[in-house]
Amino acid sequence: MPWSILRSERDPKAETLIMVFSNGSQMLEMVADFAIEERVVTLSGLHLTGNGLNSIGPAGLRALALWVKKEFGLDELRIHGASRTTGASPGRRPRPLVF
Amino acid sequence: MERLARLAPLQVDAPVRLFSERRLPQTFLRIGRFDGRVKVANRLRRDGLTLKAAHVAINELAEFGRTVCDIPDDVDMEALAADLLPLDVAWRRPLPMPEPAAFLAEIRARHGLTQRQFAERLGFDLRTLQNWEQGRNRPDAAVIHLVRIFDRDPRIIEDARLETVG
Repeated sequence: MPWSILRSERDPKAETLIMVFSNGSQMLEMVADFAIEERVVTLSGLHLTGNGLNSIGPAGLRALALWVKKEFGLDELRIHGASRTTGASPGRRPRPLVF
Repeated sequence: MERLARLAPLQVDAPVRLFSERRLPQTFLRIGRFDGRVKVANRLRRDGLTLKAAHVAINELAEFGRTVCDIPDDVDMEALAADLLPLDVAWRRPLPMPEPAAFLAEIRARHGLTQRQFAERLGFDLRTLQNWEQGRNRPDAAVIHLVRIFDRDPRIIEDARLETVG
């Protein structure tokens, strides 16, 4: 089942975005600062919370990012994740991802 | 651009309730894996934090392990703490402020010091200390914190004030 957006909201004073995605079997909540320049969106300090541990791996994140890119007609989606607290190298800020 | 605009709709939920405008700094610590970060942000928003402030809070918890949030003073902090604990976030409640005169006299007596010795050890003016202990003046909160540190380990204060020569 394709992804869909259940809720999307942003802070009225600051460029912070919260979104809830679902693909039927999985629900993901995301919060990040965002910036839009032409058709390039940058998400900074991105946090994702899923149904449980490892609910979305690198492949799942890529699939979701590509869906968001297509859904909103973006040329590029840049993701700067927040510091990791679990998984590989806790405490490290993951390298930026560009889709 | 129409599709882009949908990415960030300005859609702010009506506040659950109106909060007091007076806010108090509250300290939170990350105590575990902290998987439910967005849930933490949502819970903080329910108690009056903006989305931006809640995002900053979870960023700091992830990066530094602690954060200080300005929470409205009419929030039920016990309920907030109970909801955050299963999400690996603990509230550090401020210690209650003691009655200063009795507190200073008690700590001084516990360490077996005269007023003069106590004032010297902490770097206070003797007359100022006497005024605090007699209740003529009240020390500010920083003095109480300093005396609490002295009570735990007097050497910390001495090392912070004095250096050995030679």
